[in-house]
Amino acid sequence: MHISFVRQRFAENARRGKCLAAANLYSTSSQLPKRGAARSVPALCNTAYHNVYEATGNTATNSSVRSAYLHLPFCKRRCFYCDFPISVSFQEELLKACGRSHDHISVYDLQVEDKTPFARWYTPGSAPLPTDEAAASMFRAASRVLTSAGYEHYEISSYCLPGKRCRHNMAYWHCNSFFGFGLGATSCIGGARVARPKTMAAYRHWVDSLASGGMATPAAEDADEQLLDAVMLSLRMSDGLDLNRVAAFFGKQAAQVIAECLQPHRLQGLVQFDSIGNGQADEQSTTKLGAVRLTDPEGFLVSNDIISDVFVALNEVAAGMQTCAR
Amino acid sequence: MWPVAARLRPCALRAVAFLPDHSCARAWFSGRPLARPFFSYTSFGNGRALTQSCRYVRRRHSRAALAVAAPEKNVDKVIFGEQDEVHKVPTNKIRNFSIIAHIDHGKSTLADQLLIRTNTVPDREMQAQYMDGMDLERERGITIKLNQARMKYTASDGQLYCLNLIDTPGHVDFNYEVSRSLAACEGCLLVVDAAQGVEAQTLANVYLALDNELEIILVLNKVDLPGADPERVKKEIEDVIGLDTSNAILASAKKGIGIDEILEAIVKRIPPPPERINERLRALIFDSYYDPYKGVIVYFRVVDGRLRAGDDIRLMNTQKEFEVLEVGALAPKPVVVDELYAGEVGWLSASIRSVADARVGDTITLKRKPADAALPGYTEVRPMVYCGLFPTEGDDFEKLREALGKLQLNDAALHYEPDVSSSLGFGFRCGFLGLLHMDIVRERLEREYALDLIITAPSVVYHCLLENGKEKRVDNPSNMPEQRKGISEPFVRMEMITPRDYVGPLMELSQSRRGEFVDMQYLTELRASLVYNLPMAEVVTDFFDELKSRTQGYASMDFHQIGYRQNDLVRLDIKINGEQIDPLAVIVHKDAAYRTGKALTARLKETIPRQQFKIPIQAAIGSRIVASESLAALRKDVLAKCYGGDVSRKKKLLKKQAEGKKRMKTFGRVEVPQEAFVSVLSMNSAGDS
Repeated sequence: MHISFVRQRFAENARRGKCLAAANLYSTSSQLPKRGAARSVPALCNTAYHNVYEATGNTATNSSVRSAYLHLPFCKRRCFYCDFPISVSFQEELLKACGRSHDHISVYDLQVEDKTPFARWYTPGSAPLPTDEAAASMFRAASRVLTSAGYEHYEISSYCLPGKRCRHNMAYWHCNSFFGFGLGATSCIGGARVARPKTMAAYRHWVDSLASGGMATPAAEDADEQLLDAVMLSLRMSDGLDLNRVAAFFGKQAAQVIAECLQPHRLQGLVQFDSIGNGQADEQSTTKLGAVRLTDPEGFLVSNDIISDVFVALNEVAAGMQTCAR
Repeated sequence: MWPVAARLRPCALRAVAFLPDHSCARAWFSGRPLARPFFSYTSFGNGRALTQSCRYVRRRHSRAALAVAAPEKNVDKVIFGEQDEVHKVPTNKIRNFSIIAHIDHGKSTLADQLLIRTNTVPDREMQAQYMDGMDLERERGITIKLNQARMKYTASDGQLYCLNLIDTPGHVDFNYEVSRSLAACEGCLLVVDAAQGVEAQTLANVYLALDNELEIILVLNKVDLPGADPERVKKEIEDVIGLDTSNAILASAKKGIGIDEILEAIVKRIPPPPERINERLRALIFDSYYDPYKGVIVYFRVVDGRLRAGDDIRLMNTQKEFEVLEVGALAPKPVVVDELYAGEVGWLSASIRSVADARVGDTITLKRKPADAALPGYTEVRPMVYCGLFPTEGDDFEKLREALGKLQLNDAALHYEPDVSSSLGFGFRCGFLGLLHMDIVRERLEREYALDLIITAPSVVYHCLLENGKEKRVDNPSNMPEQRKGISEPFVRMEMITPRDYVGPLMELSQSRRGEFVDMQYLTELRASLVYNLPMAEVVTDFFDELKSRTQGYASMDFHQIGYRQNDLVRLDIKINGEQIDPLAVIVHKDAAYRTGKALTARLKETIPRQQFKIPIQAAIGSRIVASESLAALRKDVLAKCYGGDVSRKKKLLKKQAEGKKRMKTFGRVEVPQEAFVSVLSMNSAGDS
C-alpha cells in the first residue's frame, strides 16, 4: 500500500507536469532522509517520503519490502520543479538498482499527457526527450539487465523478485473490484468503472447524496467492453491473455478471432502462444489454446500496435454480429 | 408546401383563397357561413377602389384572406392580403432582379435585409442568411444553390410591386449558376464592398450582366466599416468597368442603411418585363431539383404567354410532354398559385421523374399551342476538374453509387462515371466545376450518406496523340498510354486582381506554375490586374490557396479555358514498399518531375503511419526512380503505465488507434490511411508546400 501510494503520487505529479522525472531512484530502506534533511533528493520526493513516514507511523519502515523507481532525467539544468541529479547514465542506474537488491523495480518512461503544461512544452520523441530509438533501447537494456539479475518482468513496466509482485497493481490488471477514494478517483465495481467528481464542491455534494441515498450499483459494462478491458490489461502482463477463459466468458468466436489476428505478429516474433498440456504452440485447435502473451521486450515495445489490431478484429466481429442481428 | 391551391370560381359571388390555418378555410370546409364578411371583385368595380377599401378591411379583419383572379380578358389583377400570401400584380409592376457581387461582399446579408424590409419573412422565422438553406452553406458561409424570393413592396408612389429576387453564388466555381439566373432577370444589384473595391468576381459578374443586357444598380455595401472609402471605390468602378456611378447607393446591409433607397431604385430603374402575355407560351428553365414526393421541381421564367396548373406542356428540346400538376412561386417558401404569366418567375411540378428530362436551358411551351422557336438556352456546363472517388470499404460501392445519383439530382454540374482501379477496386471518376465544388460534394457524401471515401488527386483531361495518329482523351493518369507521340493539356487564361505590392509574388507564383505572361495593367494607383496563361493542371490543385496566402487574401482571380497545348508531360508513379499505388499517380511536366516526386514522397512519409517494418517510398517515371524516402519501422508504441484511473482513458486511446486503422487501405503489406491521399491531393504540384 505504501509503495503504490508513493508511486501514485509520482504518477499524479508527472501528469500535472510538475515532475520531470518519470521515476525516482531511491529506496525506502534505511537511507530515508530525516524530516527536513537537506539532501540532493527532490523536494517532492521528500514530501513523498514524509507521507510514507507518517502513514507508517514512523515505525521501522517496511524493511521487508523495498522498492525503487528508476529515473533518468533528461533536463540539461535543474529547475525548481525537481532536484534530481543530472546526466546519469541509464545503465549505471540499472546496475545500482540491481546492486541494492530491491524487491520491486518499476521502470517506465515519462508519459506526456494531453492538456498539461508539459505537453505544451515538450513532444515525446524529440529533443530534449529521448528519441523513440533511444527510449526503445533503454527499455531493452532494462529488460536485459534486470532479467539477468534475477528479476521477473511480469508487467510492461514492472520487475520483481520471485514472489514479490505488487498485489495492489495486480488488482488493476486483473480487473478486480476496488474502491478509489478522493477527488477524481476511480472505483471498479464488478467490471464497471466509476469516477468520482473532480472538484471539491461536487465531491461534497456527491458524498452527501451517497450518505442519504446509498450507493446504487453501477451498471456493469457490456460484454464487448469487458472483453476489450481484459485484452488490454492482460496483455500488459507476462502471464498474457488466457484464451480458454476468453472462450468461456465471451464465446469461442472471440477467442478464435484473437488468435487469428495475432498470427502475423507471432511470425514477427512479437507474440507467443502457449498451450496447456503439451509444451508446443499449437494454434490451430482451440481446445489446446492456452495463453497468448507479448514477448519481452519486442512485443511489449509495440504493445499498442498489437492491442489495437486486436481491437479492430473484435470490432469487426461485433459489427458483423450486429448486422446479423438486424 | 402549402397544399391547397387557390381556385377560380368565375362568376361566384365569393372567391376565396384559403390557407391551412385560416378561419376562412375552416369555415369553407365545414360549410358554415363565414363569420366575417368577404369581398368580391365584381362588387367593387375597379382595382383601385378595391385596394383602398381593402386596406381598411385589412386593419379590421386582419385574418381575412382572399385571392381574386382576373377573368380571362383582363390582365389587371390586384390581390392583397397578409404577408404570407402570394401577390399577383400587373406585369408592369413586376421587377425581376438578382444580386451579383464578389465573395463576401454582402450579397446574402443584403438579401436578408430586403426580405426583412418587405416583411416577406415573419420575424420569428427570420435567421441570418435566410436563403442559404443547406447546412453546408451556412457552415461555410457561402451560397451554393441559387434561391429565389418573391417580395411585395409598396413603393413611395403607393403602388404595390412584386419584386422577384434571385440570390446567386459568388464563388468562381459556380459561375454558371450566376449566368443562368441573370438570364431570368431584367436588372441586377451590383454589390461592391466599399472598403475592398472591385474584385475579380465583380468584374466577371458585371460582364455576365452586360452580356445579358441587364440594368445595373450599383450598391456600395459595408459603408459603416471604418475602412470604407466610397469615393475611391466609385472612381475605381468608373475606371475599371466604365459604369456611371452618379446614382450609386451607399448602404450597409448589416446596419440596415440604404435599404429603402435600394428598393426604390429597383422599382424605378429596373425595367418591368416586357408585356408578352398574349403570345404563345415560352418559358425558360433555369434550374431544377428533385423532390422525393413531387418529382422534379422546375424553376423557370415565363418569357411569353401564361402557364397554369392543368396545362399540358412540352419541353421543346427534349420533346417530352407532361401535365402540370402545380404551379407556384417562392416567397421564399414555396407557395402554390393558379397561374404564372409573362415576366414572372416560379416553379412547377409535373411528376417529372428525372432531371435529365427537364434540362436547364430548355424551353417550356404548351402542347396545344406550341411556340415556333425555342428560346436560346445555355451551353452544357463542362466539368473542369476530375477526381476519383473510391469507397474505403469495397462493399460501400453500391451506397456510393446511390448517393452520387441522389446528389446529381440536385446538382446538374456533377458528372460521374464508373471507374475501376487495380489498387482501390470499384469507384467513380467524377467531374466538378472546381476545387470548391469537389470539396462540397465530398463533404456532403461523407456527411449525409456516411461514406468513407478515398479521393485520388484531381486531374484535368489530357489529349494524348497516339502512335497511329489518333487522339485519346485521358482523364485518369493511370490510363495514360506508354507509347505516345505527344500529349497536350488544357490551358486557361487567368486574370488576377491584386494590390500593387503583391504583383511580384504573384508573378513568381505564375512563373513557377509554367505560366506565360500576357498582360499587366494598373487599374488604379493601388491595384493591378495580371493576366497569365497557365496550364489548367497547375491551377486546379491549390493555385487559389497560394494566391490568397501570398497576397494575404487581398488578391482575387478568375479564369476560363482557352484550348489545348502540347507539352512535355510524364506520368509520375508512386511506389510504396515496391507496390505501385495507382491512385497517387500524377501527370506532371518533365522538368517538375523531380521536385514533385520529392515533395510527394516527403509528404507521404509524414502521413503514412509507421508499420512494423521499414517502408521505402519512391516516386518513379516508368521504371526510373526520381525520388525516394524511407519510413523507419515502428520502434516504440507502448503505454507505460496503466493503473486504476487510467484504464478508461487508455482504452479510449487504443480505440481511437483502432478506428484509425479501420480507415486504412491495405496495399500489399502496407496500410495507407485515407489522410495520405487527401494530403497528397492538397499538395502543391510545383513542389513547394
